[in-house]
Amino acid sequence: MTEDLQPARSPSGGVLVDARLSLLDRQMLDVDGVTVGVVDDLELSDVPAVLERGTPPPSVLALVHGPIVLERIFGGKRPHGQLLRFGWDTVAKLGSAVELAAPASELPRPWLETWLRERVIARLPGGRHVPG
Amino acid sequence: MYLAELVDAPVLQAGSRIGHVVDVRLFVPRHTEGQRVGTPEVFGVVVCPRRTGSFLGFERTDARAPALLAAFFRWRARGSFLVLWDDLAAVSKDAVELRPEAMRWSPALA
Repeated sequence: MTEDLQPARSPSGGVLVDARLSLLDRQMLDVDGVTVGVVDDLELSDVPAVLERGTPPPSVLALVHGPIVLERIFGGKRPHGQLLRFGWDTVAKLGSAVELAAPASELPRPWLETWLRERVIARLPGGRHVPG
Repeated sequence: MYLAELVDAPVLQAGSRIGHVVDVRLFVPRHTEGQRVGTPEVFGVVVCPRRTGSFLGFERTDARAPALLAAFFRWRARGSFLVLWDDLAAVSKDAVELRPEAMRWSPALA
C-alpha cells in the first residue's frame, strides 16, 4: 500500500465499506437467522459509459445470489431469470453476515427448488404439508 | 451493471494501463427513508498496479496483526491507491478509465 498518500475526506453521516471485503461471499440470513444464500454479486444502477463530472455515482439496487462462479472466471453474464435478487430495502443489518428483514418464505427461492416443490414434491402423498 | 464487471477490470489513464480494480469502495449512509440500512453508493475504486486479488482486510488501518502477515499484504499491495468516483472518466465492463488529472488517495480503510 502507498503510505505517503493522503486519506480522502470521507462524507459524514455514514460509513465507508469495501464491497469485495465486506459484502461479497457473505452469508445472507433471513429474519429468523436461517441461511438463504450467499452474496455472489451486487446489482448497481446503470451509469452512462462516458462520465461527465458531477454524474451521480451508481447505487446498490440488490444483492444477487446465483451460480455465477463461471462468469466470474470466464466473463459473460448469466440470464437474469437464473439469478435471485434481494432488493436492498430488505437488508436489515450488515455484519459478518448480511441480515435480511423478511422470512425465508417471502424471499426469492432458486428456480430448481421451486420447480421441484411444485412439480414433484407437491404430487407425492403428504407432499403438501409439513410432516407432524 | 453488476459489481463483478468492475472488480478486476483493467484501469486506464491517458491510454496506458496502470493497474486493476481491486475493490469498489461504497458509502453506506446511516439512514435512507423507509429502509433499515441506507442505500450504498459507489465512493471510489481501489486500484492496484498488479492483479493481487483482495487485500484480505489488511487495507484497514487497524489491521496490524499478525505483524508478519500485515507486512506481507501491505508489501503485496504496494503502489495501490483510491480514486474517487468524480475522477472516473468512463466505466465499462472492459475497463475503467481515469481522468488525466485524477487524484490518488490512500486506499487505507479507517
